[in-house]
Amino acid sequence: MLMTSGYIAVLGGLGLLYLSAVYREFLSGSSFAPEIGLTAFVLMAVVQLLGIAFVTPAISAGAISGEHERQTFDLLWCTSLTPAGIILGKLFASVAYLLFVMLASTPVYTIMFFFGGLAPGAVALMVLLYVASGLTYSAIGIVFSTLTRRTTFATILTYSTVVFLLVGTLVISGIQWNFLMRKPALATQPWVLPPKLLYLNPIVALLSALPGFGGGSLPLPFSLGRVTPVLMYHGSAPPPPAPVLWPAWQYHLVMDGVIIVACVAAAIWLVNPTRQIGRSGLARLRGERVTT
Amino acid sequence: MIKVESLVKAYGRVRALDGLSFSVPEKSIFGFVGPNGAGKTTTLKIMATLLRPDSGKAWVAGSEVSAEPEQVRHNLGYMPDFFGVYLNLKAYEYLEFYAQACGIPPARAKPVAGDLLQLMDLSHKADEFVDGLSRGQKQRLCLARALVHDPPVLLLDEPASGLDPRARIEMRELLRELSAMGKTIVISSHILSELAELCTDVGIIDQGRLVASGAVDDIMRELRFGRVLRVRVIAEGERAADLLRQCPGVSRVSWTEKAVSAAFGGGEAEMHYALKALLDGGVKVVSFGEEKNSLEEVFMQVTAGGAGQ
Repeated sequence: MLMTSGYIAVLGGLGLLYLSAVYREFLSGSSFAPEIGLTAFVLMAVVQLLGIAFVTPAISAGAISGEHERQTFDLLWCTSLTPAGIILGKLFASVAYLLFVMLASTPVYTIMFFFGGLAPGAVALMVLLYVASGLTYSAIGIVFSTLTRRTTFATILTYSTVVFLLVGTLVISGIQWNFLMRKPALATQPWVLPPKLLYLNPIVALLSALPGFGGGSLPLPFSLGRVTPVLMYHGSAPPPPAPVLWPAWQYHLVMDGVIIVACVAAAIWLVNPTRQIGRSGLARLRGERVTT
Repeated sequence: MIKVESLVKAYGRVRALDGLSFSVPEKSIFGFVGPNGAGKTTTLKIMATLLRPDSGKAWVAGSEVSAEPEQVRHNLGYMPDFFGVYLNLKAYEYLEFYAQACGIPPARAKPVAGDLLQLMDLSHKADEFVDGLSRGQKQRLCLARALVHDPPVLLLDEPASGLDPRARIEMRELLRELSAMGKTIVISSHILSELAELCTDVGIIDQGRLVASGAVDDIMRELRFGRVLRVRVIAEGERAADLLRQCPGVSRVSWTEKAVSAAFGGGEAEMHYALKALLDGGVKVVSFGEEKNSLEEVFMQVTAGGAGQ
């Protein structure tokens, strides 16, 4: 309870800090109230997403490996629980607390409604993306935990994957974008579809889910509006209207779904202790005696 | 109730099980004995569906461990030699968790946990955190956990390991009680004297193979070695030794002034002949009888490859 209250206080404090920074602009009329509320909302939303990305791997990476290290796995296996029951139970247990914290922090966001420019559906969509991200990072942590049976290695692998999703996708997409722009055929098109890897990025998905963000007022070479996907605009003149496609967050949810299903299925297959993977390398990593 | 057929399990070049076969009758207490590294834990883990054998089969309560692992787990309670506990769980919560994990509805889990705590004499520790219990209490709690779904078969790997003498006696009484309730129990242990007292059947394993198996008395009788005749006399131990050497079935006689012992391979008739020879020879006999071989001596002989010598 103390931790949850502290977290909500920090999140609310961040929003208030931003508001106090733009207070003079607001009073002078140079800033428009909805923009202030929206920006504060986005700031808190991104911080919360980063918080989920930071905390979830730490919880999930020890889900199965911790049982092995504590020598409680054998007792758990010798029950009526199925492999799917064990893995799904661990998955939901690792996100349960996060879900509680997210729901508890929802009222903090509603303060921004007073500034206008924010639809209630945006908060619901934000929570949906948080749930998807939490489940994705948990599933990744659990599959590594099941594969390696060592919490240290599982934690390293999980955080590496999460960092790749958050940062690596942006870097690689940026490099790909540079190569794309060298193609003469694309030079004549005002809007170019971005590298697919960008749809894996949860921050991109979150920003695309927020209404009006990035549209018009912010000098970004891409559209992140709710009804327009992430498209790269490379012209110097004001961009023409972008074609209407699926919003990036929808692509992102589908990709998250695929990752969750794949990781959970793999973990269910791997959790069986009679299944020995490889003769050396991974088996030794797990501390198994290698069979012939 | 339990049948193991030609189990083979190798770890690299080490062959932990090398064609192991044995069976355990229903409602018996089977003692599984062997030196360190003989393959006892590997065998128990295969029966508990925690390891897959390289070849061979094992059946527990009619279900084959590789083909029907869920049914096997439903029918057995397993207690490993080393086990961890969940922190921040109280004793009754620990049992309730495992009861529900074993498919017992939540409404029944609480009374089942209470009954088991009472059976294990841990009712007064119900509200204590599990990691705060003593070693003996944890062992009893783990045994209670193995019983939570009332399985007909129990596999216990070193259940008395690390216990003080009183706790070992209490554990032994518990196991007798469980056997009286109709459970089939397989115990792996190094405490041979207790196994000999407790078990109806014994299997001695060495280097992955079964070297002796059956009822305890039958093994002793069948192997027929090391039967010792012990005679206490008031004096003239040397003369008693000379008289015994001439009796059929007697060999390797050793003596002191007041005692004679000899290896004996005869039956009741030969024993009567030996006693008559001593009495007719004027030896003042205080006590005369066959010293029963201990399971430890049997174990030492068979695992050293000296069976029958």
